[in-house]
Amino acid sequence: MEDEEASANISHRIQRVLTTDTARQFTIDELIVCKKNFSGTVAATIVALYEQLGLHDFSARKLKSRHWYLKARGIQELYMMDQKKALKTIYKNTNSANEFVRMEAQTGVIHLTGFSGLRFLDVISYPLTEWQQLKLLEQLRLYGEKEDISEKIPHWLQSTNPSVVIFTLKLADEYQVFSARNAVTGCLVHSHKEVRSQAVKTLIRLADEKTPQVLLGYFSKEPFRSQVLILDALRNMAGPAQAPFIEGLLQHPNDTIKLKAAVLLAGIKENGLQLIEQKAKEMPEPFERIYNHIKFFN
Amino acid sequence: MWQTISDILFNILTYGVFLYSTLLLLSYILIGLYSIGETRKYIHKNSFTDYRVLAASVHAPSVSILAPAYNEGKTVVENVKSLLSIYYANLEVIIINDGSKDDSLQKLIDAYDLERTEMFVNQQLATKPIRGIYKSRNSVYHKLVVIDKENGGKADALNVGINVSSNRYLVCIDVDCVLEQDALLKMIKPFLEQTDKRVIATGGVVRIANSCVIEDGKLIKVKLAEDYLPRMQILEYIRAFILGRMAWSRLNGLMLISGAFGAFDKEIAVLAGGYDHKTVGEDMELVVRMRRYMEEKKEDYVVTYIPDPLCWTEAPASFTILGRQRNRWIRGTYETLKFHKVMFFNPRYRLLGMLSYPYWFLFELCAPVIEFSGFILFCIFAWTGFLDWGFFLSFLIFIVCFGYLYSAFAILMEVVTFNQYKRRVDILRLLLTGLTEPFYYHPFVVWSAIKGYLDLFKKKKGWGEMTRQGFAKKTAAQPVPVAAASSSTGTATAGPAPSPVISPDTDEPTWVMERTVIPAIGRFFSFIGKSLEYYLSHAFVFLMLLVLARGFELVYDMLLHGQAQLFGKVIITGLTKDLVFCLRISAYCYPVFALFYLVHKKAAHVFYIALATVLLLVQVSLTQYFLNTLVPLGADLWGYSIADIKQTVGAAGGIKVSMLIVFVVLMALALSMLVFLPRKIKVNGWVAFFFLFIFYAAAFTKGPDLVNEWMPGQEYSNNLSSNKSWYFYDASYQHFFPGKTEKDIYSDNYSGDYATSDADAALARIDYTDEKNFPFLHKTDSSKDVLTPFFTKNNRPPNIVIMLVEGLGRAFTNKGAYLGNFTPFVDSLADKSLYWENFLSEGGRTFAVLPSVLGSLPFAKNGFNELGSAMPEHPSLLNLLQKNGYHTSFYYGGDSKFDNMNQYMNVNHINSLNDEFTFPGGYTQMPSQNGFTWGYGDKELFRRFFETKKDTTKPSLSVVLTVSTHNPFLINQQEYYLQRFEQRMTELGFSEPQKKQYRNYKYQYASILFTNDAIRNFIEEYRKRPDFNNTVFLITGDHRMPEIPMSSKIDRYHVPLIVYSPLLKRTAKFSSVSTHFDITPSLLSWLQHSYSLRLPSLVSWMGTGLDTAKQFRNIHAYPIMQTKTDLIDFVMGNYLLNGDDLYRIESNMNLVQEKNDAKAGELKSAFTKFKNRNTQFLQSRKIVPDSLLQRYTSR
Repeated sequence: MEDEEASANISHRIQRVLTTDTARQFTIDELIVCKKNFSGTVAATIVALYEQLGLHDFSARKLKSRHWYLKARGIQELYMMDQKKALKTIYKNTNSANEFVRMEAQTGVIHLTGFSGLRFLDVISYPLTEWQQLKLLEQLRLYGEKEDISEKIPHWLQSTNPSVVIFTLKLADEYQVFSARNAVTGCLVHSHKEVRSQAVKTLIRLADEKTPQVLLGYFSKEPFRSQVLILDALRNMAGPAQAPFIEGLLQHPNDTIKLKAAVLLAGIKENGLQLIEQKAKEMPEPFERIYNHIKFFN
Repeated sequence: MWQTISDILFNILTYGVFLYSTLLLLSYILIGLYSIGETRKYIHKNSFTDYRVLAASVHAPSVSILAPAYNEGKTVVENVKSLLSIYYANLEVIIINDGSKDDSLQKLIDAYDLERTEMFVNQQLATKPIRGIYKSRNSVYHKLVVIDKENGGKADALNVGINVSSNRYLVCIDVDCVLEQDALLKMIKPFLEQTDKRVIATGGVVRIANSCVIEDGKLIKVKLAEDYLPRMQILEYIRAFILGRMAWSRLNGLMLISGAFGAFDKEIAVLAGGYDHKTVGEDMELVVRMRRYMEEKKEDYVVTYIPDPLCWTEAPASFTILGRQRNRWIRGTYETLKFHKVMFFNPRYRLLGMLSYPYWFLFELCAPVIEFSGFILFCIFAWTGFLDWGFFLSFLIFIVCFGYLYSAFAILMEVVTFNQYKRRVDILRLLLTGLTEPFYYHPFVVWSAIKGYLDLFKKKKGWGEMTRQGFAKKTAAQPVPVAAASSSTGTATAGPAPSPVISPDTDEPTWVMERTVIPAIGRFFSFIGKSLEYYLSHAFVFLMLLVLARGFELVYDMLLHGQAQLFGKVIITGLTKDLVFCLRISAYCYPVFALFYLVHKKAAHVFYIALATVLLLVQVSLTQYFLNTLVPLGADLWGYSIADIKQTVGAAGGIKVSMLIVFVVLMALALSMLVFLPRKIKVNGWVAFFFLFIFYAAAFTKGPDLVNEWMPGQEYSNNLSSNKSWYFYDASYQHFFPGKTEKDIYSDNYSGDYATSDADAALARIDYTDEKNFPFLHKTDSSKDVLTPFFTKNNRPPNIVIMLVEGLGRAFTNKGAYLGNFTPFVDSLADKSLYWENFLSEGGRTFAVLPSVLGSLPFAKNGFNELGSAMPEHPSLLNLLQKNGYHTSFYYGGDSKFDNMNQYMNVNHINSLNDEFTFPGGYTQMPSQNGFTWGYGDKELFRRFFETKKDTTKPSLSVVLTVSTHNPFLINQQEYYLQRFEQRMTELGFSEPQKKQYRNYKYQYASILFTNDAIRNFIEEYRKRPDFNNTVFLITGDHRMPEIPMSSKIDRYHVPLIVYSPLLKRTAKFSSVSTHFDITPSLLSWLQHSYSLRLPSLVSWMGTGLDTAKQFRNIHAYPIMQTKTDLIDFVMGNYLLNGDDLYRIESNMNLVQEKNDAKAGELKSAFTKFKNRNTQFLQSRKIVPDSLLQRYTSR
């Protein structure tokens, strides 16, 4: 009862101030800053205050504006203030033409409903920027309840939107969805270059005993970046079986590949280090330096 | 033909420059407008961004920071610390020690516990050899990699960094840059935002950190730079970054990413070939090459730009270092554009080739050359006189104002967007700094660029030494190895915190002498040095103010009188003379200043301000005087009484209130400059002593006199170019302390009595009878009657009307007038008269006319009339004819007290004196100005004349002095006569430009036409009277009007003499030279001979009588008094002596300067003889014996 009275008093005084849009905006900004720093009951009180002051209407009004930055702002305010009621409106904007409105809407949906909010991945036609992907991953991480999305993953990996595929691969990576391993392997032959790169990364994370062979099988087709990733990753996964292939890589034109191969070889093969030493005598440049490197760092 | 070719070239040049400037300004405007939209979008975007997401995520791309370092020993450890403290997950910090000569490497090894590793480096880019790669043993610093290599330059070092880096994106920075908190995140974000295009590079904003508070490698407080140069660069950077780069980024045409802070996609950078070490502009060159690579690969790409202030660095604070930097920049730009010249207007490269490259080529590369050559051409044209000053000045003002507008706009954008400088006074200071840019900073930058070009031609490459001031001045002890400290306290940041920034001290120079020789001498020199330095900083401000005053004078003169001839020379000679004046005055004032300085520094400051203000006031007042009267004010000021001065000033229009306000404002401005600016000017000790030497050279040698002789070449321009203050002070000094006029009988130029020389046999001789008592007394030569043959003899003596017309000069009167004939009636009258066309007055001002014409009198001290009540009785036309029965009268429209004219008339017992105060009502006065009027104009004067003229049997002598053609030239019927002036110009066949020039003096010419009409009315009215047939009219000018510029030194005296009468038997025109002195002797001679009047045979006339030779010659030898205090002209034969200069008089009264020491000596000795007689007369105050006066004059 006391709380009710107190809050009624407070809201009276503030209502008098909140006559202009500037005042309202300022108040919302302050509330959001507070909300970011608190959780639990304090956060709930802040939300209650927000609603009491009628500021949710103000934020919702922004969604009707023609300016993209106002729309996006409005969405952000609504989801930061846990306005689940606005979910439907926000959801409508997840495929908006304007990328910032889109971004906020997507983030908002995740913020409010967590993993189930990822439904929009089914339908969006615009690409997800890497930045947006990072934001969504972060948002998911922050969400309290974890859900199981492993059934959805193979479906999303079939999406025609390459950025959705990439994002899904990241999801698989992040949440270690081992069940999706086969689907991920299938992405190694995806038409889109970036999908393939990400597939390599994800596969490394979801590795099993067959993975080294799989990766090396596609090795020559991969871009340099991925090759480096593979070789680095193989240090933990590879075994003597891969040695012949790795030895072959010592002839690779790129010196970095040579280095990585040599490092790997020294690790997986019995007398790998001596091999390198010998190579260093045969071809000092660059193998002498490579040999010194291996010696130093082991 | 050559004329047309040079015309064509000239036109191409001027229009070419004009076109260039127009394009340049348009592009600036477009850039300004375009950047607005982009900045707005960015700011809106930013409000949604939480960068911390990026920092923590493992999915964030891997980044390597590359920071080359060379001789950064002082600050390298803390710089690295600030880099290592950046919050980002996949980060690598690579420091490349580019073969530093100092202990940078050792410091790093000590501070971060580094050990040498055998890390393998893929040499994908060719570089100088690496000496070692170091990593820290401490896992806290696992991100750090330090590379030591042989010196190879920044590009080479960066390439090494690229080779070593294992991450995807490179961020290349200068090691001493201070990065903002989220700088890295903001820079990387653009790479993650594009979906279809590849981002190959991102540029950031470099802000200037001078005077900011930096602690622990973090920016604590932003402050506006205290020193002028960094502040100026702040403004420059704001313009370049906020306006320029935003706009280019929006177009995706950005060609330059700051070398101090930029992010690159490593793969593309390597594929493009890495940094090019053969150029000094490697940052720009890499971006251009990466873009070109992507264009050639036909892949979609962008180069983006972040406008947030991310990176703070130190800007050069001294001109030397700034100059080197700009020098390097222009060389870099040149080399980059040269390497990629295939892109110029090549459509294959789309926007890069068609827009970006041409813009950089035209407006960044060529601009300094064009500006500089423009300046040179300007000087050439100004000197040779081709320059159209009106156009040039308006163009200059336009460009300057545009620059100000643009800077103001840039500052506005900065305030509206990032608002780094929150104090209002800082914004004001930025604006004020911008005011000085076109005059001080920009020329220096252009000059540095030109030097850069010169260096290019000399094939010089390299960086030069860039010395850093360091952010923290006080590092008390060696920094404790940070690693050790952190291990003990467990925190990452420990060790002695560097103290906040203090700006570098300026030490007083300690003189060597102080320490080795007697302290007193040392102190004396030290005192002189310090006071001189302080004095010089003031003197410099004073010189600036003088130059401003000169500028004001020239502009005002151009507005009033049109462009003077030889204007370029006027400017240059004028400024030189002003400089010399400043040096001289400074020399004289310095001892006094030093005395004040001895008492207290502030006292000297106040003294100087007071002194300078007074000097400036005098200078401006003298300038005003000159601009109104067209002659510089000399010592004649001392010849006028206060009343006279008041009358002249009042008549000239007084002092308008608006002018007074402007004057006060300007004086206030000058005062504030004197008070505040000296502090800003620091003078070096040796420079001060050098100036001491210059001062005394200026004060005591002949050098400055030579400078003052350096003239443009035309009379008016000569006057315009002289320094008015110096002229006045010099003339006043001569007036109060005149040099003795000696007769050096042993001198080579001495020729004794002029009459003994052969050449002088042609001159009229004077037989002096009693030189001891009455130096001017001589016998008349009765055979000298020249007028009788021209007149018919009547039965009674004729009436004489002598009309002295104010300012009636031959320059604009009658046929052959070089300004054009503006007196058509007088001209027609001359055809019916005895007309002396080469007649001279005896004075440059009105004061001399009455004594010279009526009494043929010497000049006494300041003109005969100035003797005032001490005026002696003397024979004159008035009293001699009065004794013979004439009725004498004097008519003047103004106040006859002026120039003591009434006194002169009273001494001559005039029968009737009519002046302004005897006019009854019913007469219209001349239009008044500020409540003051000269009196009655000529038409009214003549009307009064006829009113008072009674028909009597007595013959009459009437002297009429007109006034309408006197400053301020206000006449009744002003509009009518202005139109008449226009008409007259057309009648005279003037071209439109001529007319425009003449219109500057339209009031003068209108008054001349007015008086011409008045004289016509007078004669026509007189014709109706019965006594007309027995009247002789003499019309002459009292001197030539000075308010229209003179053409030579004799022009001011050149007037006509017209003797018109119905009694004339025949008319004649005489080209021989006579003067006012000759009128009375010849008139009396004639009257004595024809009408037997009783006249003395001993006379005191200065003149020997009119010469009636038809051909040009001069048989007279007379002095002429220029002003009441200047008696420097002497005419003898065909020569004029003006001061020390000799001129030959040609038949059209033009002067040709001649160097003929013998002749000059003759004139000088004759002149001296006159001066001696004059002095003698002054002492005795008697000009003729009393007996003569008793017998022949009325008493």
